[in-house]
This record gives sequence, structure tokens and C-alpha cells, in this order.
Amino acid sequence: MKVKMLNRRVCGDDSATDFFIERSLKDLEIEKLKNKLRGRLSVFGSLFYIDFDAGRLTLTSNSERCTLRTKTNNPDEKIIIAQFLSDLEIVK
Amino acid sequence: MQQTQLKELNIAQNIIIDKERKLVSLYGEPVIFHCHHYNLFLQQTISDPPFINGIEILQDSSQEINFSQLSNAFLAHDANTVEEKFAIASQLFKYQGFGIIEFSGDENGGTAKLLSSHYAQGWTSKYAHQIQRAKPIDHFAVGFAAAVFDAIYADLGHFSAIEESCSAVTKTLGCTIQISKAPVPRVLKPSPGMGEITSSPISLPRAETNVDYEAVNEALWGLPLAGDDDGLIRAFNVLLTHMPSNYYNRIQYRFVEELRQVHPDLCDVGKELIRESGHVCVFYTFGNIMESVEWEAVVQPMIKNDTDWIHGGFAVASSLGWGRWEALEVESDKLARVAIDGNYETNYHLATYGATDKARCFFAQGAIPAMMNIVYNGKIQEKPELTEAFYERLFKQGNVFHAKELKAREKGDPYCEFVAQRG
Repeated sequence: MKVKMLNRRVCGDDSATDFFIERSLKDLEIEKLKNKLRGRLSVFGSLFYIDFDAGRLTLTSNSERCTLRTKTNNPDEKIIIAQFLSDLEIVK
Repeated sequence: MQQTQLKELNIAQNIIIDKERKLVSLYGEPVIFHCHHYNLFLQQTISDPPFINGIEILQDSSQEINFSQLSNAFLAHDANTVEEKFAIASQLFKYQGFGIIEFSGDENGGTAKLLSSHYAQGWTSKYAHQIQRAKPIDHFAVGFAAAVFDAIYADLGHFSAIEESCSAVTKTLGCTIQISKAPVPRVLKPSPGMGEITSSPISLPRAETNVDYEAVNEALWGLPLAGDDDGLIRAFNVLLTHMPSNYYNRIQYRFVEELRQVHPDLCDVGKELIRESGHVCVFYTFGNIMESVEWEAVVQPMIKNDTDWIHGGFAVASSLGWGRWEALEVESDKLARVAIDGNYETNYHLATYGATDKARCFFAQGAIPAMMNIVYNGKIQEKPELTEAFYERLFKQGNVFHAKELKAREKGDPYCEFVAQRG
């Protein structure tokens, strides 16, 4: 599906990238993304955090946006996430 | 004596959430969340005026409040050796989002090395590209370091500290604080701890809203908001600290009191600046929360209209350890009537100064109308970029909301009540 990315600088000199997609991710897709990122998944109701060395990806099943926050502007994870999301089908 | 690596403590287990009063405590001290924008603004407000000793207010207050929390922490973890106590102090500092600090020394004094710093890094990210800072910034950490040595080797006021090198000034990594034994112990004032809390929560009329305050509270209380590997709490696009609220209370009220004594004609200006700190907090912290994925997960699904945004904001406020903040009535784009049952400002004020004849919740007097400003003037629903220029336009131009504290627990009313309107 289509993925739009918005890069912004957030407080503390960190970097944030918003990924705007066409639907929210399903639980299984979040699990797969976690494995791709080799991260650690924490679940708080409909809120999900995937934590890894470079930062955190925040997602929710209530929104078509997820936010990557990292300490550097060019993490490899940005490419992995963008690719993963664009490979997903739009089916809601 | 050098600090050693001890096993990681589970500090989170010592967080106590009073769900009825919506107060949070850690080792006997009430703790609340605020962001680096608010921390820096408030600190600068107090340290700037050349005719008061603002830095002494900041550092002494930190030493007093942290002494209490540290002493309780040492007891809670049954710490007996100096190494254990240094390690607990470092882990507590890190957990609360102040940075990474390492101690060495003995009963005559020592050194604290700040490997990362909330205040220094927060300031650097906001201002370093436009200002060359000349003076150290880590006043909270200076007081904390002195308190560590007080609590380990002596009693409150026996040590003093000074920041000799600050990364916000040097633009190199790390800050250094020297702690030394005071020739004569200073008379400092212990923390009032939880203060004068309400005997039981007041029954407040429930407003018409789709927002479930308690569900928002439970969701936010469950989030892992603690210092990361750098000792920083990177959340909601800001840097948070889980600060002992008595530090904020003590510095703001001492600041106003000092002005009253030294420059009485500026006392009202001082109060207005504390109110403005409420604007800064709501704009940056709540603005960023309202634009976050966390908001979309927890609060957004409840929102059906614009007044629900105001309720959502106050539901979040009551999740931060601030007490029970509830909007009793919201008229779209016109008015908000807000109750605070057991405000953290009042709990401290009553315990420290007793009852008064004037309303004294200066932070809340600023924060409450700011919530109306960001929703109805700032259109936060559209996720504008939260820049300094936008802040200036939003709060300094006309037609902004202001609040009056109509009822005040510090005056003897059962709870505090505010009305925010334009003009």
C-alpha cells in the first residue's frame, strides 16, 4: 500500500518519522514487523511499542499512522519499515 | 569511595498511585510529569532576575526535596554501604529522567559526573543553535548531588555543591559537579512530603462528555515512562521528567515570596510568569501528546466533538500525578469550568503556608486557559507544528483565554474551581 513519510526533528535533538498508511496494522503484521526490526514488542491495549537499539516505533490499531523516533536521522530501520509497509496489501 | 555497579533496582515497584486522589508518589514524595520546555522556562524565570538569588532558590530547593526522597529510598532498599547508596541515587536520577550521574567521594565531599543531562540536553536542543550559553544549567542536579552526600554522610544542609563544567556551556559531553562539606551546616527546610492531601475525594458533578476519564487514567498509568539508557524519558515528542512536585512548588512560591520582599512592585509580574509556565507546559506537553500516536490510541476513539478534546486534555492532566483535574462544563469555543480536587499546588501550599485569603494555584491558573487556547485558537486537532513562533502567536496575540480561580482549597473551599473565558 501507499506510504507517505514525514520527517521531523523532535525535542532532545532526536529524529521522528511519521509513516502515513492506508489502514492500521493487524496484530500479526505488527508481530512480523517486530521480528524484522529485531525489536521488543510491548502492548498496552490498542497501543504498541516496538523498541530496538536505535529507538522506538509507536503504532496503534486505531490509526493509519505510526511514528518512528530515533536518536539519529538516518537509521536503517526507516528503510525496513517503509519497505515492510509498502509491501502490505490495502485490504482493511 | 567509588560508585560500583550494583544490580538494577526495580524502582517502578516503589511507585504508588493513589487512584482516588490521582496522586503518584515515589519514596514518600509526590511526583508529577512535566516536559523540558516547562522545566527550562520555569528555571529561567527564576534564575534570570539579577535582584534575587534565583540560583540559590533552585539549588537549595532541590537539595531539600531530594534529601527526603533519597533518605526514604535508602531505607526502602535497606542500603547499608556507601556504594549501595551511591548506586541507588544514580538509578533514581536515571529512572526519573534527569540523566546519568555517577558519584565518588567520602565524608569530606566528592564529585558527581553527569554523563547525560535532561536540562543540559533539553537546553541545547532548544537554544544552542542561536545562543552561546555562558553559565551552567544543572541547578537541579547540583541540589541532588549535595542531597546525596547529606543523606549518606550527615544530615540536610551539611554539604554544598557547585557545577564546575556544563555541557550546555562547553558543548562537549558531560558535566561535573563538585560537592564539599559546608564549614557550617546550613539551615535548610525539609520537604513536607505528600503535604495536606484531601481526606477523601469530593463528589464532583459529571459533565456531559464522551471521554472516560478513568479509562484514560488507567491507560496512561500503565505506560512505561521511565529513563532510558541515557537516563532520559523520550515520550510524546518531548523530554519528560518524573519530578518531585514539591520541587516545583517550592521554587515557584519562594520565587514569588522573594519578589514580594525585594521588589514588591514586581510580585504580580512573578505570578504572571508562573501562570505563563502553565501556558508553556500545555502548549508543548499537551500539544505534543494530542498530536501523538498514544493519543490516537487511547483518547481519540472516545472523541465525538470539540469539547471532548478539552475533556481529553484534562483526563491526561489527571493521569500525570497532578490531582483530580476535571472539566465540569465546556461550552464550545467560549468557556470551560474546571475543578481540581486535591491539586498538587494546594497540597503543598496548605502544608507549608497554611490557609490564605488569596487563590494561589498559579500554575493551574495558566494551564487551564491554555488548554482552551490550543484547542480553539490553536486548532490542535489539525496537528500544527508546535514551534516557538506558533506559541508566540497563540498566547501573545489577542482573543486568548484567561482563567480566574473562583474557588480555592487554599482559601478554605472544598476544592479549587476555575473558569476560563476569552478576554
